[in-house]
Amino acid sequence: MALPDYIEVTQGTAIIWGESGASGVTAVCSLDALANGAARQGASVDLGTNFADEYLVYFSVETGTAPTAGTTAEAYLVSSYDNTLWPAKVTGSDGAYTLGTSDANLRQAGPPVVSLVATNDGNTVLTQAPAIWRPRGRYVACIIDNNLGQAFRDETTATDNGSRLILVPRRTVIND
Amino acid sequence: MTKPSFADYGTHDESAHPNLWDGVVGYWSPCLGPTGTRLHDVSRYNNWGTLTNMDPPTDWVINDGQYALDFDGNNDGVLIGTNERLNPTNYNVALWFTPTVVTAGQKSIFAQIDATGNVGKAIRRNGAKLEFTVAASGSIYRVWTSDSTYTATLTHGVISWDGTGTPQMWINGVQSTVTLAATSGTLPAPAAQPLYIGCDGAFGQTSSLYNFAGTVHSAVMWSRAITSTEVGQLYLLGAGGMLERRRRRRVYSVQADAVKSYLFANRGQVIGGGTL
Repeated sequence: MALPDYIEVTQGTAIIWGESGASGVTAVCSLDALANGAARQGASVDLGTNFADEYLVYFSVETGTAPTAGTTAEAYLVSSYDNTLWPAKVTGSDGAYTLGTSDANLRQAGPPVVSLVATNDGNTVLTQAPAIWRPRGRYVACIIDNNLGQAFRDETTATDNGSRLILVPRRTVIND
Repeated sequence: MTKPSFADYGTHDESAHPNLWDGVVGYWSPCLGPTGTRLHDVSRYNNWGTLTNMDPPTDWVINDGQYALDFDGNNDGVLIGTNERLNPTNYNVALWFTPTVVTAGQKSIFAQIDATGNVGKAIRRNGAKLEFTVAASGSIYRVWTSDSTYTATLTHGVISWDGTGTPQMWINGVQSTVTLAATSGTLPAPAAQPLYIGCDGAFGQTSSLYNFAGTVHSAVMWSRAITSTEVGQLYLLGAGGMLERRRRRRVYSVQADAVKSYLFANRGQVIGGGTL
C-alpha cells in the first residue's frame, strides 16, 4: 500500500445552540431578549464516545437596539466527563446563569472561547471570526454573557432570533 | 484578526512554549482581544481584573498590530485585587507596554501599592528608565535601569527579584545595569496589596501623579526566578508570544489488508512513514 499523500481537514456535523425550535438549532440556549449584564447557560450536548479533537466555534448575536461599537458579548464553553460533574455551577440545562459576586461563578469556567466585538448595528446578526477549541470531556455546555450595553433582540416570535453558538467538529482526514 | 487572539491560543497545557509557563501565577493579556470591562487572567488562577474608570469601546485599542489596553494617565486602571498567590517571595514580572511619553516622573504600569501609596511594590516607567520600588512603613527601596533604555515604542520590560538581593531588570531582552535610586531603612519585606495595571492603586486612582499613560499588551507574573535565556526567548517571541498554541504531532495507523502502514505528520504535512 502506498503511503497517503495528504492530510486534510474536514468539518463534521454542527452543534447549534439557540432558541428551541429555531432554524438549525440542535441544543437549547434561549438567547432571545437576553438582558445586558445577564448570562444564559445552554443545555448540555453529548459529543459522543469518540469526539473530535478540535471544534470551530462560531458566535452570532442578533442585536436589538444598536449597541455601542466595541462593546462585547462573551461565549464560554465548559466540559464534563459524565454529564453530571460540571464546573462553574453549570447545570447542563437551559436556564439563567448566575455570574456570582465579582464573577465568582463564571471564573470557574476560565477565559471565554469567543468574545464578540459589536458594531453599531441594530436588528442585525453579528458574527465573530471562529475560534478553535478543544473539549475537555465528552459533554459540553455553553454560557453566554451579554455585555453589549443593550439586550439581545427581543423578537415577537422568539424562534426568529438569530443568536447562535455553533460548534463544528474539525477533523483531519488522510487522503491516499 | 490579530495574533495571538482568543480565536487560537494556548496556555499551560497547550502552549508551544511550555517551559515559559512553569511557575506562572498570573497572565493578563489584553493582546488576546477585547473582553468588555473584564481583563481575564489566562493562567490557571483566574485572577480577573476589572477595568475601572475606563471606557471599553475606546480603551481597547489596536497598537502595533495587536490589541492592547489604553490608559489615559489620569484615572484609568485595571483592578485585579489581592491574592496571596500574587505576592510570591520570588517576584518575577514581564510586561509589554508602549508609553505615550517618556518624560520624567514615576508612572506605575504594574503596581501593588496600598491606599497610602507607601506600602507595596510597583513597576514604573520613570523617564526612559524602568523603575522597581518596594516600600513599607518607614522603609523604601527603589532601583532603576541606569540608562535611557527605551523610547515611546512597544517595549518589553522584565523584573526578577528574589526578595532580598538586587533585582535584575531587562529591557527589550537585554539585561540592564541596575542602579540604586533611593533607599531608607531596612529592605522592606514584600507586602500583599491589591494589584493594579496601568495605575498606582487606590491612592493613584485619585491622582494622575503616578498613573501610566500608554498601552499595555500583556503582563505576566511568575513565582520562580526566570533566567536571562528565558527573557531573551520572551522578547523574541513578541507580545503574547508565549500564548502561541502548540502544533500537534500525530501518528496515524492505516489498516490495509494484513499490512499496517504508519504515517508521521507535523502541521498537516507528511514527514515520514513506513509499513510493518
